[in-house]
Amino acid sequence: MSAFTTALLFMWVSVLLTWALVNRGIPVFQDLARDMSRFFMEKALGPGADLVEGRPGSGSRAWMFHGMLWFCIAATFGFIELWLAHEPTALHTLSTIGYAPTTDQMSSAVGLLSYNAIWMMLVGASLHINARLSGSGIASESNAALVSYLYSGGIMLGLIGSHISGDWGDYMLTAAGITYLLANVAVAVNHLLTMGERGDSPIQPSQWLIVFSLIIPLLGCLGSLLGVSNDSVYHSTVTFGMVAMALAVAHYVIPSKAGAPLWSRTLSGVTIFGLLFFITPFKMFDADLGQGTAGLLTVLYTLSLIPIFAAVTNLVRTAGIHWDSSSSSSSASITLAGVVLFIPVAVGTLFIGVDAISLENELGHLIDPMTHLITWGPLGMIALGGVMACFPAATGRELFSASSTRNSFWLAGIGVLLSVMAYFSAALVDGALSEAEVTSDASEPMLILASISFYLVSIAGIMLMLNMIKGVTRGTPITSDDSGPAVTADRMTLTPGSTSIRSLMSAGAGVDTEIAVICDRCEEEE
Amino acid sequence: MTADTSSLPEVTIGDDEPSSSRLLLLISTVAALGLLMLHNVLYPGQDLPVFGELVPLFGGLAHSGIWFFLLGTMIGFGLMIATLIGEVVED
Repeated sequence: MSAFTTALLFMWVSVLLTWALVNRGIPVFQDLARDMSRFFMEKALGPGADLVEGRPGSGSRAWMFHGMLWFCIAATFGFIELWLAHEPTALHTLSTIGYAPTTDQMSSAVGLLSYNAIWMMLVGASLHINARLSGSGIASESNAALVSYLYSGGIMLGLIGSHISGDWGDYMLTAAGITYLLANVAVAVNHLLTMGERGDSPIQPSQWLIVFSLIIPLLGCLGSLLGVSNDSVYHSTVTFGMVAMALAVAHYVIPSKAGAPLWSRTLSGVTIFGLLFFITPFKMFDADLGQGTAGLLTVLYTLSLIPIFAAVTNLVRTAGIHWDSSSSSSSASITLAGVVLFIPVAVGTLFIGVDAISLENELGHLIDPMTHLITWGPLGMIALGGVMACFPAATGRELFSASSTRNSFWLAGIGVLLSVMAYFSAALVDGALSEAEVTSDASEPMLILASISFYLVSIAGIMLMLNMIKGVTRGTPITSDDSGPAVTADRMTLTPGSTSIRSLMSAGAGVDTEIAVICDRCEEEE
Repeated sequence: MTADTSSLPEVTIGDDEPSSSRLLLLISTVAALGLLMLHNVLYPGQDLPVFGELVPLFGGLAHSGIWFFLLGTMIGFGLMIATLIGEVVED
């Protein structure tokens, strides 16, 4: 059995075990594990836990604030990277103060900043979502808030480390990686404890995706430590975490803003389990493949399109149920735009991923623009939508200006789309010229357009950040009655047995929902 | 009824501050810095006078259009910090 197959089997068994443990709990040790986790998350921190406030929503708010700040910085660095692609000497004057990053260092810094900024925004939204769906609030707000500072410190370390070559750069990047790992463990435990307090409510698709998005990368690390991992499988766990977290946020934002339950339960299930068992080729272009794995990996890449298509269809149809509500909401609109962008990303990465596996490398020149599209298209836009939707609810106040939020949506949307199209055009031109062995700067105008249009994303981030800062203190307070349209289903079917009103409402029932009890054996028994 | 202007001094300053005045100030600053870039057009390859001689960093600031954009970003980050401090102090 190859290392790839062993690693894949390890992941699949771990996924099934995790699913069973989350669903059924840990027999006998459940209370002990819960109490110990609570102790380590608050009491064991000693005075550290007193540094931050533990008010409801403070954890989610801290993650989103930090994430947005890093988003602005990441977008600025992204703009600089795009500009330097057509004018490499633009920032040479900064060498007088010692700042002269190489192209690789700048690219590494942008990758690190953008990934972690978006991850922080999504985690912040997920904390609010899980608290809301569990109906209990986050298990430890103070721990969540404190850990956001830890994660931010890790990003700062990584940013500095990515600009330093040699051993010290490696040490700093390693320290940053350990920081991310510790923070993600704390967030995962917090989410599990929160879900444990939900009572009898069923676990919603968003909650499943949140939990798995945090646990699967940790299982990937565990597999590496145990020696049962493979480079491509490990890469896939990290990629899965980001994609699943983005879809978790989308599965909450769109139904809640549209005021309609998810269109299809089956498609939700396919999304969750399809993502878990197949490998998405997103960002896996430089995975080091073992001997004999290419065939199986190609099959898994192709099958991974199914959950993506299922998710997009489900969410678009959900938004379409109450199109007026979803289209009038900036958060739902930008989230939906991000979700739709998953289609070109999935198809494009399949082609590029398979090309990378085949070692033909005929599409190698498209890797950079595709990475740009994946990061700032679906992931970045869903993260922005998550913040727009969840930040007001977490703080208890609306964003300061609705028109500014709408402007942020348009700027980010236009900026991402224009820059992606221009970047792809430039890459295609460069690829064609390279194949013809012609040296030319014909792609320069397109690179200029790409960088200038991407500048809009940076401005959109800054505008949203200003809106958030003002909204925290001067935004219109949200009363419990106007927290968005209620999500209600028109009709629900139940099987005989006992349930609670709370469970029904969690599943999408409202006062006008028609409930039908279907029983196959009832007539026979009568 | 005509206003009694006899008690007003010849030069006055009002208490109210129109919001457009700040906007005008911002536009003026950006325009001034933008016109400073003309130096690069008129004297290509030369450092900015005075600034470039005092601080080497300013020597090549006008050599690339990227600084127009970075200036906007820097103003944005400055606004963020100013707003944050302002909101906290006001709260």
